[in-house]
Amino acid sequence: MKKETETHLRKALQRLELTAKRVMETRGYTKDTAKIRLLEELIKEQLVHENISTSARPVR
Amino acid sequence: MKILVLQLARFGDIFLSWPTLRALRRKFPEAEIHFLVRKKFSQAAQGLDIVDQIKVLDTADLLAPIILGQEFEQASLQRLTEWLAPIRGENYSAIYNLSFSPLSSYLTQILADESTIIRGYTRTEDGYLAIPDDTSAYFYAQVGVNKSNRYHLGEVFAAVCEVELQAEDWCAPAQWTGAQAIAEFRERHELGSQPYIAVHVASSQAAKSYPAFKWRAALVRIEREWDGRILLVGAANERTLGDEILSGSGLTRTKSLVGDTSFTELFTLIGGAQLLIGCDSAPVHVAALTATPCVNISFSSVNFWETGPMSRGSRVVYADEPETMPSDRVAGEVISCLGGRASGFPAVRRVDGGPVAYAIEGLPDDDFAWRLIQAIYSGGEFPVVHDDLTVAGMVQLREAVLMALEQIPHIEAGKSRVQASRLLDQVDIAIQSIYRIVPHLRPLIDWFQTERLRIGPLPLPEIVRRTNKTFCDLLAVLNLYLGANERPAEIGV
Repeated sequence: MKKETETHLRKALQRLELTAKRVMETRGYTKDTAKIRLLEELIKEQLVHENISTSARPVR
Repeated sequence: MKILVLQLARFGDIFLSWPTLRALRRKFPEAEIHFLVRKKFSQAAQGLDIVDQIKVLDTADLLAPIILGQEFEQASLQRLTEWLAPIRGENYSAIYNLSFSPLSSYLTQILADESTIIRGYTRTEDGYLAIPDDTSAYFYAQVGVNKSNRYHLGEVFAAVCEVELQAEDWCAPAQWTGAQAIAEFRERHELGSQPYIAVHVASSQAAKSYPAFKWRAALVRIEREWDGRILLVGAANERTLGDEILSGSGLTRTKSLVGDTSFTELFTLIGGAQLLIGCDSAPVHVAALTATPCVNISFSSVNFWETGPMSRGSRVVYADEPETMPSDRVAGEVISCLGGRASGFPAVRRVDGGPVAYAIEGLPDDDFAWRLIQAIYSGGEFPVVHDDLTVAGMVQLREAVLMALEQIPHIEAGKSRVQASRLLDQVDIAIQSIYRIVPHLRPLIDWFQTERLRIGPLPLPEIVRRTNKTFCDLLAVLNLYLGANERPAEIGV
């Protein structure tokens, strides 16, 4: 992965985590929070390795 | 009835899900079955005529605004919302999540409504991981490369979906693997009527791959001792590996088709082969669907019990690392497999009829952890402990459990709650230490921790009651080994 792309993704992840935290504090856990978390996970997958893992990987 | 099956892992996992989808169709002949896969691997869902719709998660499209680097998370969220909306509108009666990932757990929660039956990972109402069914709890606790599970993933997927697999569920589309397709393939590649074997030269990760020079040495010996043709297969980005294997090899009956076969042609190629040789990779799972025996080269980065070849007549040759697998070993196994005889080497054979897919021959097998798993989950006999470390670990674990059981009742009481919580934190640290130091106890501790995780958001008295019961259940197992210890009364019973 290009360094620049990785940087964009990491920064986006940080911002999303902050957003989710704010939403949780004001509205609690909702489907909107779940969507933010889902997007966070999509990003995290790209940062661990570029290929998606198999079913039986150690990360839960 | 409308069913959604999620499989967001890779090619091989999608192929391993095919039998479960067939079994679901058999169980629910009138249901509408949708299958959600990633766009990158969606080719593996072709040929699934028993599925009504293939839905696709396009990660690249969803993340594109962010990758542009202009703080466009909201744009990505908007794309995600627009992608989710029609899928939520399907109002699924059941969602089977075969992906076992954090991402799929959030996706399952978003797509489900109150009446949806969910099996597989999802989320609690306060956002924590929820594991509603026992099979997925087993997966969470016991499945993975450094774990001791021996159930094959194909069977685990079926168990999550509460279906029984039959032999005919492992099949490929007839138009890809029938006599006509194979005849046309042979004509296209000028194979005549010669038998051939297929060799998948790569794997998705280096730790699972066999080096080119070792492949070359193995194939030289195979050509010397067997009269048929050898076809190398792989993806387009593996083409140079095929060339490297052939370069300067002197091989005359080996042809590289690496990067030159379409997805459906791969099925035809493997279907017509006498044998497939490969590491842990998608073609091994294609071979399970085409009933082609395999010699599977497996390393410590893979748990072959879970993801090994499922076709009859297959064998697994195992070494800790690719560098320590001699090419003669691979060649010897292939030649003996083609001749229908044992190689004389230690091997792992595909077997039918038992709870696991393989039998080990001539290799040391410390199966204590596996027998402990069977005892915990399937009512098998608890294995005898022969080593002092495990006994000492059990003694320590029981002390930690007894301390926890003394403290748990104080969690509901006002003044002593803080002290009790601190002591319970110490119990958790102690249990983690035992986990690290005593490998034989890991399946037991993993089961215990998973059951605690499954308690979920409940009123405090109910959390206390269930936590107490989980500790009591662990104590019961430890008492089986260490001798009777008075079981504390379960709270609220």
